[in-house]
Amino acid sequence: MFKAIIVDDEKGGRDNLEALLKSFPNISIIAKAGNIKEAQKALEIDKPDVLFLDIEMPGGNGFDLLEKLGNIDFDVIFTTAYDHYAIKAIKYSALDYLLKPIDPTDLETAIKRFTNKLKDQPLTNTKLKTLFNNVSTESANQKIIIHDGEGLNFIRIKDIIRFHSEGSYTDIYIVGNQKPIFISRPINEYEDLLSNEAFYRIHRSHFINLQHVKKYVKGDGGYVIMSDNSKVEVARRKRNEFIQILSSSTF
Amino acid sequence: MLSSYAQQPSFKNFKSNTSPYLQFNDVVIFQNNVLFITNEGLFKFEKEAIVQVLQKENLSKFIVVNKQLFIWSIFGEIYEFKNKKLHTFPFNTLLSKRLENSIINTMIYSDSSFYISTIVGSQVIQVDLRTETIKTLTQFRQNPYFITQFGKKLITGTNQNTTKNELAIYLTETPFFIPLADENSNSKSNIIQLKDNTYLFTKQHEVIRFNSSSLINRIFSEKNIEAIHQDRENKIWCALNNGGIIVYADGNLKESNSTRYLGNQTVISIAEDTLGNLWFGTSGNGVYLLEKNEIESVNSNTINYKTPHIFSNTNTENEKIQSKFIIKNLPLIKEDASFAAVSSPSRIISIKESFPDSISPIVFVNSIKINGIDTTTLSHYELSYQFNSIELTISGVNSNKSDLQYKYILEGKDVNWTYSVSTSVYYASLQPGYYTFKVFAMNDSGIWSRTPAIVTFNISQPFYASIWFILSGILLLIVLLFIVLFFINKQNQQKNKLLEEQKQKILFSELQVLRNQMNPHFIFNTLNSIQSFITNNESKDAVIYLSKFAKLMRATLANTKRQKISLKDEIDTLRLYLELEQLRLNNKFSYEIIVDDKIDIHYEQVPSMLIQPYVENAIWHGISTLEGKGIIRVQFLLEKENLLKCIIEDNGIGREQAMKTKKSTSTSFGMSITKERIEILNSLEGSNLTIKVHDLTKNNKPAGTRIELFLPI
Repeated sequence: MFKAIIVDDEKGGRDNLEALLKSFPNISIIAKAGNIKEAQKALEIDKPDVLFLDIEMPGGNGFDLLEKLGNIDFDVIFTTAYDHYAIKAIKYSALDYLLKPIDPTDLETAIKRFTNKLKDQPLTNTKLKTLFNNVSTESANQKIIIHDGEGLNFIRIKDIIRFHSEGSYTDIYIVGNQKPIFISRPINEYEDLLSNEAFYRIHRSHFINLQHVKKYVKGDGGYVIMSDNSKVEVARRKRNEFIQILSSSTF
Repeated sequence: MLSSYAQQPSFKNFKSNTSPYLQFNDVVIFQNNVLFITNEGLFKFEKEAIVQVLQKENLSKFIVVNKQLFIWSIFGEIYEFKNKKLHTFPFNTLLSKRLENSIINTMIYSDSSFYISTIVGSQVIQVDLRTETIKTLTQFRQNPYFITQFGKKLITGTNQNTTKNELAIYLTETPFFIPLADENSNSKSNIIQLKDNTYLFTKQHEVIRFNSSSLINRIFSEKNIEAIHQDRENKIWCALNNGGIIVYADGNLKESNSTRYLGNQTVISIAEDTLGNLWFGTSGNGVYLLEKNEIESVNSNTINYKTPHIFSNTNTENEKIQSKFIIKNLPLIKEDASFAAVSSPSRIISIKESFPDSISPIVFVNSIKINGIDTTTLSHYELSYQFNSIELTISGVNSNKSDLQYKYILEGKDVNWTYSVSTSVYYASLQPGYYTFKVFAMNDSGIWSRTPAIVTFNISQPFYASIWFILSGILLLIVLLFIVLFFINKQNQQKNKLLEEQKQKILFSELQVLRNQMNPHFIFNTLNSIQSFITNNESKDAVIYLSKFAKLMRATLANTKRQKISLKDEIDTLRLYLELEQLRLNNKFSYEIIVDDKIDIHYEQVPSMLIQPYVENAIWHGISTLEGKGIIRVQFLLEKENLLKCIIEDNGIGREQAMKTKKSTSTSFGMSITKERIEILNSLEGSNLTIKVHDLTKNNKPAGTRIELFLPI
């Protein structure tokens, strides 16, 4: 049996999640809180296994609560209706979140993920630390967490030079690293994740950071030379759009 | 470019309804079930569908041991699959510690042990189940390995990643070596034993066939090879990354023996079931089944797809065959084991004895045509400026009769070497100047000719390149330039003004699209339908449709911010919209969305929300007043290499009838906005979006409408 606490400033939000959680017999709700203060009190009385935490609340948001608590020894699933900036920061930090109104299948996936994984609190704490960094700094200094065979990598977005996919695998080239990080995920996932940053898909296999482009050499599609002197091909079809983006250079 | 295809045997395609874009890492036929490992967990083939058995990330491949099914993950965890569950292998914690910095290449079971080889952080690890111990057999830094087993022989491989990569084969007492063209050490490799007791080894583009004592032949595939399989009729199937599959009629790997299927899809896994049917798992395009009787039709193919040779340009002029190596770092060899290793120069062996084709080929230039006319072959040519198209024919002499491959450069024009199998080289319209043509030849074993064949050309300057002519020309140009600049400036001012106006128009049209999507009629009627679930106490359905509604609103808000979105996002949004309209109209219509296999929906981009108004029109003007059940079909086809065709088809009352019964003008408002938007997109991006409308008829009566949208990509 897993113990859960729900934090949401709106009663409707708390009741709705409680009702949806009734279909999961292995989750029991030990407390519901309407603001940070109530949440802190509830956490003093009994420690949960998982905290469902709304982000936007009057009198201090969800991140403030976690920062106040310091060391976290439970899992956190964020809930929010619409806050693009916060969701981006959470995604980068590889933490879990649910969008309101809550889709029952999304909820089921999140709970499966939480119950399946071994309790790994140091991991949650590092992820949260990255999240706090991401919400407090400007976009370019934000970090993303990338899981590869060797563990977690904390990478500053502006240090990513490019992604190179070989079908089902992706190599990520980083400033200062001789060898790329090798991931068993397709390139699209990173394209979605970084869609708001200065990145551009110039080729079926190449997704590059525009800030690391040193030179564009014209040709059929042409190619770019990146800051690490690597040569990356531009697809013929992408050429015009790419040149347009390069010349507008608002990134 | 794909030039010709053989008559296609028909492949059946199956996708999971819940996750259509799965990546099928492996296929196994186990206890008469077809099981798949995907990026979202274990799936099975059941009643003509792909259904999820359980969810788990990072699973890689199956191994069947003593009628038990094991699965390993790319990080080296081992699970037994039994009673629809994964049972954790007791060694997993210890193993994951050992394999901390590794990516697994292969895993096999032999004589009560699992052997695991890794490509990153290379090791070969033995998990001995009898003594319950874990042992690292060999370990080098940065050396990728493969491991496999043929009969009683265990074979491992290492790639020392030094200056030269070789495949060292230890199948008999005298080992022999095959140089590898590929220098990327972190790539996965495959090895299989063919039925004629020869072996196939693949790594990236390279395919090498050898027996226990020598190399038989080597080819270079156009695309990276993900998996290989020999079927019961001895045909060899290679799964290609981004290149479908290529099948060779037998072990004789000749282009003339091969045919290609499945376009440019990425195929990752192959399996053959007990009936002889073949299963192909793709990345993002489901699973293909090729039934036994269809495979037979592959035999009769005579039209072939020609695979261009791809060469790695790692060979340099300086490379030489070393006749002696120094013993160092011998990998650990078990008494009963024999190793085939990709290794650095690390053992004493006389190449010449065991390696018949180690003699360098000799290359020369056969004949030279200038402006299409044969000449006496010389080593130097003085040419006038108008004689500037040169065609050279090259050939080589080789110790055996294998095909030669060439690399050549025209110094003064080319920067890089060109790698080719063609013996003809053509340079058209060369500028005046001094050129040196150099060519080397390489034999089957990857040995280059010691010296190149060299021909030089001096093409003289024409009279109009003389100084007085140039000077007066420059003067004239300057005058002209001033005149042109004056006019361009004037035109630019006008153009800028026009551009500003167009930008305004775009902003306005985007706003209109948003308003059209968030059409109050749609919003409130959908909410009303959801309310009816609540009043009827069907709260489960209410929750499901409310979530869909929220997802559509969220997607709409996100999509309007962007000019172009991926085709996948467009289809997802369309699907949500159609499902909600089905709800509103009480399932009055069914719909299907069909996407051509050749389209990579993650990669291709389309203008956001361009298709939805046509679908809306089909529903409200075609279907809503129709008696009986409506059908909406949306198809995405690849019309040409860079042209998508989107067909929106309904079986409704037709345009003429719709005009008569039109109730409101709201949707035609939507259509006119879309039309305007297409005009703006065309004028701004210089693209060529076009629409065609067809009235469908059946027995001379109207039977619906078909809209065809042509979207350049």
